[in-house]
Amino acid sequence: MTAVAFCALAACGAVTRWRVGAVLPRPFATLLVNIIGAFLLAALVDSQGGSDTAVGVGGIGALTTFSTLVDDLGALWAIRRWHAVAYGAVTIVFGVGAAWIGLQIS
Amino acid sequence: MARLYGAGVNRAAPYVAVGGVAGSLARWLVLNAMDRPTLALLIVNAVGSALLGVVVVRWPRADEPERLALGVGFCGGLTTFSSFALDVAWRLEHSDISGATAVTVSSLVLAIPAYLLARRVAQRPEIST
Repeated sequence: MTAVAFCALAACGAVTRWRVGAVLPRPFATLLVNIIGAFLLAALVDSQGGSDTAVGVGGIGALTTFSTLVDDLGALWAIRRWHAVAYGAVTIVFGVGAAWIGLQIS
Repeated sequence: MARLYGAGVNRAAPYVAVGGVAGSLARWLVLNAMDRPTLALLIVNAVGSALLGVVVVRWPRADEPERLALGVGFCGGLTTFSSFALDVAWRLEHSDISGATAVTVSSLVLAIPAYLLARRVAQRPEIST
């Protein structure tokens, strides 16, 4: 049952991330899903720092991405370097900040 | 909202979904095979970033099936930001500032060069004998 839920949620997470990318311009889509996912995962965490495998590893893990973040950084770096630096900094500060807020309410 | 669910979505979504499930299962396997979750996180993010570097060179158009399945789906599913953010926030919450810094720096220092190196290798013209 967990395996079915894992696959279903991972598929939903990946497709949601893809469709957000069709609505928002490039780096903002990745930024949005990553911040929302960071908050959700932290908010659902248990006292040992673990999470439900299907929801946490499957759904939220697939919703957020690190590879597209790196690809976005590369694309921004090629146009305006400070945009890449700012995007990386904003992603980390707001992503970790969202996770920290999530931990406070978990 | 038309772009959220526009023409061609039904046709393309299975590529993203199947790739995303495969990538997420691969991440789960790595996570389970190792007893150090942070190290597993660093590995999947670096490997997935490198793989995406190859995919974006080989399939430059964003709507190609291979790009959707391997890039958006598999690499997106294999790598994760939420676990990274939670790992760092958890360390900060427990006053492990040096650990939080180390995870942040090593995530970037592993994934970015891996991506750039993979792009270079993928762009190199085929060597014929």
